[in-house]
Amino acid sequence: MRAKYSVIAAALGLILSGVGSISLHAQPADLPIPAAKTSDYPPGVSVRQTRSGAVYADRQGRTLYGMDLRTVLRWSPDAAQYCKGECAGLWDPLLAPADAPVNIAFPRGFGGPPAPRAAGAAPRPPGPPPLPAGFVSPQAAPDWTVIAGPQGPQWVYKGWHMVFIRKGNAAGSTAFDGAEEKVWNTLKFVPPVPKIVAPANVTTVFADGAYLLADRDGRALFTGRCAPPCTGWLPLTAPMAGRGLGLWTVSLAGESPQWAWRGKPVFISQEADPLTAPSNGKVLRP
Amino acid sequence: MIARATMRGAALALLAAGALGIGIAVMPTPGTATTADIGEPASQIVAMRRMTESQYRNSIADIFGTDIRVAGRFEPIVRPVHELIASGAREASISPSGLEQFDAIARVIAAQVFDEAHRDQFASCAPEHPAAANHPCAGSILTPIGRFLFRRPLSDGEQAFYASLANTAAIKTGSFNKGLELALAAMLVSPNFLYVIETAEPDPASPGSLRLDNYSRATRLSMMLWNSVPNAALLAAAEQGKLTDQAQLETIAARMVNSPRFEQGLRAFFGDMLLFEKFDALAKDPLIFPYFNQDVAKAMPEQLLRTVTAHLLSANGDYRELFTTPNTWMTRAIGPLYKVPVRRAQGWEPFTFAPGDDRAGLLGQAGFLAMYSHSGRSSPTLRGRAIRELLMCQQVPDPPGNVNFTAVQDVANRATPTARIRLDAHNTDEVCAGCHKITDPPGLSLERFDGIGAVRTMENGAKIDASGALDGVLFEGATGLGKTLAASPDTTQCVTARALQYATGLGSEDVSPWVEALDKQFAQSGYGIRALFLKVATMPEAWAVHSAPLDKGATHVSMSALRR
Amino acid sequence: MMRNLLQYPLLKIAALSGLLAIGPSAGGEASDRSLPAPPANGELGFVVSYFIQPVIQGPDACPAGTVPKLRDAYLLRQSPEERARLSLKENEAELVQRWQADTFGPGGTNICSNPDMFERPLIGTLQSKHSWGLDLDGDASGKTDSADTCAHENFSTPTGEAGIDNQEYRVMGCTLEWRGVDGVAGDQEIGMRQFHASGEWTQVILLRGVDSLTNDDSVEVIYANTPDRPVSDSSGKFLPGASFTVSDKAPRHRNVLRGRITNGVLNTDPADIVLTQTWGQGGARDIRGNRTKYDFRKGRLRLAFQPDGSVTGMLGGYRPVFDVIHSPAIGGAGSALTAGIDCAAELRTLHQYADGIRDPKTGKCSGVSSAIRIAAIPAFVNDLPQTARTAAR
Repeated sequence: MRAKYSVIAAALGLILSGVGSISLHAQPADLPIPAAKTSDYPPGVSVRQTRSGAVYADRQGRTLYGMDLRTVLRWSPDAAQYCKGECAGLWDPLLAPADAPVNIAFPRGFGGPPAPRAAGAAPRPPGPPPLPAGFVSPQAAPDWTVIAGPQGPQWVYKGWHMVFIRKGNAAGSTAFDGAEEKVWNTLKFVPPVPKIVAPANVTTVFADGAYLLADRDGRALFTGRCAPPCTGWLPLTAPMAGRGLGLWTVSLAGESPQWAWRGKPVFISQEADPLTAPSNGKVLRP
Repeated sequence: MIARATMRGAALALLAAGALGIGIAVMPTPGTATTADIGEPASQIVAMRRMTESQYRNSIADIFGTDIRVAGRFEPIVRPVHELIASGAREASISPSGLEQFDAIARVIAAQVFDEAHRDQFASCAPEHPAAANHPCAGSILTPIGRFLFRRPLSDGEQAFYASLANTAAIKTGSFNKGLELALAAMLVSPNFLYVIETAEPDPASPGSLRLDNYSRATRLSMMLWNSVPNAALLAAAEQGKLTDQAQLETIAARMVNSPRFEQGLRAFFGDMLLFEKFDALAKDPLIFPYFNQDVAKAMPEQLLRTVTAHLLSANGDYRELFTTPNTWMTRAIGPLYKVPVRRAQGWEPFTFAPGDDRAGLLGQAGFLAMYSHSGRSSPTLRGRAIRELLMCQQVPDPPGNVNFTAVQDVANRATPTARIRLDAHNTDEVCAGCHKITDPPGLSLERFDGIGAVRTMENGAKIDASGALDGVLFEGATGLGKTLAASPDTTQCVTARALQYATGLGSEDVSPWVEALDKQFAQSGYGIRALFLKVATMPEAWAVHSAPLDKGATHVSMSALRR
Repeated sequence: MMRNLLQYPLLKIAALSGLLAIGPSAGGEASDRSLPAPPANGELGFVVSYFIQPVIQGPDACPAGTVPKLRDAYLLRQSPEERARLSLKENEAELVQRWQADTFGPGGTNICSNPDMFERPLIGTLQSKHSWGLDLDGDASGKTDSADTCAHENFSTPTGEAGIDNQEYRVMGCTLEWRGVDGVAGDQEIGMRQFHASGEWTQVILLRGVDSLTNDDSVEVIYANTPDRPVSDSSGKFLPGASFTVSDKAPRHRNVLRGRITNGVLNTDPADIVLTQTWGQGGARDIRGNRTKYDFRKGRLRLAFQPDGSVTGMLGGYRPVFDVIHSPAIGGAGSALTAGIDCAAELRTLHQYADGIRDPKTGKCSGVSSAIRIAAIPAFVNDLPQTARTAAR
């Protein structure tokens, strides 16, 4: 009973009770923007290279910024309406066409209005409020959606990032990336994840503007020649009975079977920055 | 012994076929291999040793990749009293329920190997239709895999048998891959995989006697030094007959002990020598020892092994210094027990104890101190016994059945606040005193560490006296004990004997004639562990066949079944 | 709660005197027993093991009982006849439907997600003269407006310290969530401990330049979050001696404060103190990743060193009013329907009693004075001034 009425029940318990249906698609605040899934952008939007990487930009080449809706809730119950007044004096919304149908909204906690009372009907159990017709949830949103912003229909990227342009910002500038404790972040363009034919323990990681090959722990794979005793050159072990896969072959020449990529033996980075290779190693890129 | 092991193997093979539910149906099929026509054994079986769990796991990882999950419970190999598990493995059978466990594990492995994510890595061909059986294709996929699993080439009969098994299973299940999966599962429950089968051949240098053949040598070397199956180079060396050539054997063994893979082998050896299987059952009273939890229990043996491998391998250190070194490794999980800072949030970092910490070598580490304690208190007796038995290879008799432990267990008695005082009271019984004189004096020097190895200076309000004695040498605390052990010839002779037993699977008495000479060579190397294992791996005595082979008839029957 | 508080010896006295959840530690008073020697390198690390708003139980606090829940508040707004009719058991379903429907507004709004869109009466406030906390404005009377504060009633502590500012407690102190059903507030502590035990909100304190635990006129205080989980015993109590690294990933909060130790009590100078509040971003609790924060304007720490090496005391400062209810606001309609919380009434009352963070445009105060009781146990704190790079997969 006490738990039922606690703040924690309200904040933690209730939120968690609605986790099941959305957790698989959740993209928490403060994690990097995931890879793009489409090359079909809103009118006037393009990808532009800046000194800090590729970002989306408007017709004038000005960097687009995402205001992470999940980080402004404390100032505004409806996060989509946050940027008014002083904020609107600093940021211009990237507006969708005035007649564009709104298809996304910031979720308002859990639980919806009770259904009209019918004889014998049980009260609606707490859970995610039902989505209006034609709406998508932020967790399952496509790259570009439209939200009801303070100045009209406005573009949202990846379900959570309401798109703005900093007033007076020069083309190519990314000066406000991470501003206000990462409320404002440049809309970074992460190219679609390349499809690779590779061993099951190999994946791709996007860093410094390009994809590289890594192991499942996110450590870069590299190749090259080392001077014995080759400290820090950890071989990417292969199955002894393996035959290879695509560009990958199994080298049985060493003490442990080792994957080779395009005929060159592959190692796993042991560097302090796991996305780099030792000085005479070369990181593998798909 | 040999006959017993072999017959168990035969029974196992039949059980395996039954457990698969498909093998039995295959055998009568015309044109497929049966028990009678699998082929003659190439050699005489002279020993069989069951693979340990870690050897099994490492083998699967090496052959099929580290991402293949090995899930299930392994029937343990029983450790003979005062011996290694490696010796117990020579006597280890597999019970029907143990076989069921192996079968379940095998099926999970086989399903992964031929699932969509992995199939292309292991299959060199495919039938035109996935539902179709294809005998030649199945054979070409399974035969090379079988060579790695059985650690020798498959005989023609074996090749035909497993291809037939896959073929028939494919027909029955309507899936070529399912057929491969079932045939692989059958290989994985074959005694040829689960047991290291040592076979002998006539020794040309000594007419009338036998020597281990090349493939048996390859497996013994790889299991001893790398704790896994032979790699491709070692199998090739066996195929070329290099391992029965002393000079080439020494070259190959030297390369193996100098390989980074030797660390895996050395870990397994010390895990066996120091009874690490006991960590699986380590339990402490959470109210008395709040710092003990499962993360700590997991970190304890790892800390010991990291200390061992860093000192003996990375630093090429003197074995005797394992009892005195202040150097060890720390992780966040175990740092609070020692009350020391750990900078790295993940993983391990090197750590050196301060001179005043009285943490000396392996005996000053939580793993040893906690293991040889009771769940709620330390035990100088258990610690002393472990020092004698594990590190000095001395046998301490078990206590008689009718001992009154009241005095030693009464930790609440204000009159007997410390373990030393309680043991004194207990030892007024002369029956007890005899053994406690052997165990307690060294164990009492570790009393400044409680039942999980955390530092304490007082027990029940009384100051702890950490003076100790070992074989007439008096000392103070863990540091004094470490120095005394390092100076004792028993410790180096003990590890020498254990290395021999580990390599050969023989018991203490069997290897005792070789220990003294080998210990001298160990000393000449500066007590380097690589030198010790290299010597063990290459000394002709260790390769000699000391058992007579099974008589011809019995062997024939057994091997036919084993080839399954 | 009682068991946990009794771990701290000085709190035992308070519990025995009937003032549960109070004690010298709440005010940050020094221990009269001998303190540990200062560290050789001048550094002392701690992990925060207790972090919650202090509540003083007693009949003078809320004589009218706790604040009605939405269902009861709805009934109270009806005519006596209608209230009597709806209270009949056979009309329960109708009552539920009506009070629940009353928590929703047009366009899918609800009383907790959009509390400023609902007009509700003020909630009943705390009537006692006593509160734990700090004198944040230095105004003994509390009656004076200043450039950044608004006039208000002051509290005094049960131990007689006057001028205590704690308007958050005044407003929220009679809610069931704070006071508890049976006079023993505990739910918040349980929940708070979960957050602090998980590495989500875990906080560490690192003192540098400590020459004496009794008197030292200059100490640097790093008050930061760590992603590392504390080590606990089987009952969940944090254990001293564990190592923590200051967070290097967003949301990263690392407050650098200056302070001094006087008679065994550390006091820091007023400064903004910001600490992490994330809502289930990790592992299986990965939900939606909303991020808020503890934001103490003119915040300060008062921590008393204890003989066992721990510190106990108070964090005080002014919090923006919405922060006080952002937890149920994130819960949205669920907070209203399941927990019965009237976010609109609470927010309105908080605005009414705001005493700090004066808005320069409106001239009104937009924050409430607040106090959090803190205990922290010895730990090894690995400070990390630099942040790490991130990568996407």
